[in-house]
Amino acid sequence: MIEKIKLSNPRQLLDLDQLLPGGGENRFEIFYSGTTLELDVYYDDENSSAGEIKKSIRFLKVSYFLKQPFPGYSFFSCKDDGDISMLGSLVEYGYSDIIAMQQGKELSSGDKHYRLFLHSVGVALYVVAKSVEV
Amino acid sequence: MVSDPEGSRPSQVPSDYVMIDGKKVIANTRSSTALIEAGVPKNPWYGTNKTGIKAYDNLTFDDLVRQQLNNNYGGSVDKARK
Repeated sequence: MIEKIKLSNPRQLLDLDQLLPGGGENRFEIFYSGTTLELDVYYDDENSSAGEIKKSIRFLKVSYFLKQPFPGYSFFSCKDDGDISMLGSLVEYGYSDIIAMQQGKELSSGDKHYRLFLHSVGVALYVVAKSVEV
Repeated sequence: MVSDPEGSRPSQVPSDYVMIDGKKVIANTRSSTALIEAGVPKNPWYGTNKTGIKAYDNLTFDDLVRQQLNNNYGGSVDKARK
């Protein structure tokens, strides 16, 4: 049996469910340049006729990132993600096997492991980075 | 609004479901919301029963649907049921 990368203790950073309308996001775009990864999530504004609006999430000094189908097979295992109250949130994991493997390596010290599920477009995004701006 | 680039009928829109409290609940928020807003009757919708099936890691489709219920329907099965 293949060992999955373990994650635990997710902490909520941004609740997208508070932003998104009932139909969820319309689409997303990912831009990676230098060591910055920017995720733009587009959705309809329910309270005005402004049409589609955008929420940007910027990950800084990125070491790794992975986009997976959601639902689908996951390379990660996190029992704590069974808490459905945070399934629509950007979270930072308190523990990550990837971060643990990097311990003691000067170039990657201080990294954090982030995760976001985009339910309507069916995408899971994992990012290991120094920080995130929401 | 329902996208219909190939002339598909509403009955051909996949809308998987799970059984919660003995009732069918659509598993795809985007499809079901679009159909509801378009005024399409729920009877012609079709789909696959995903109850108890793993969707992602340890999450089942039931978990995903319960999260949708909490977000969009105040946790009410009746408001979202097929």
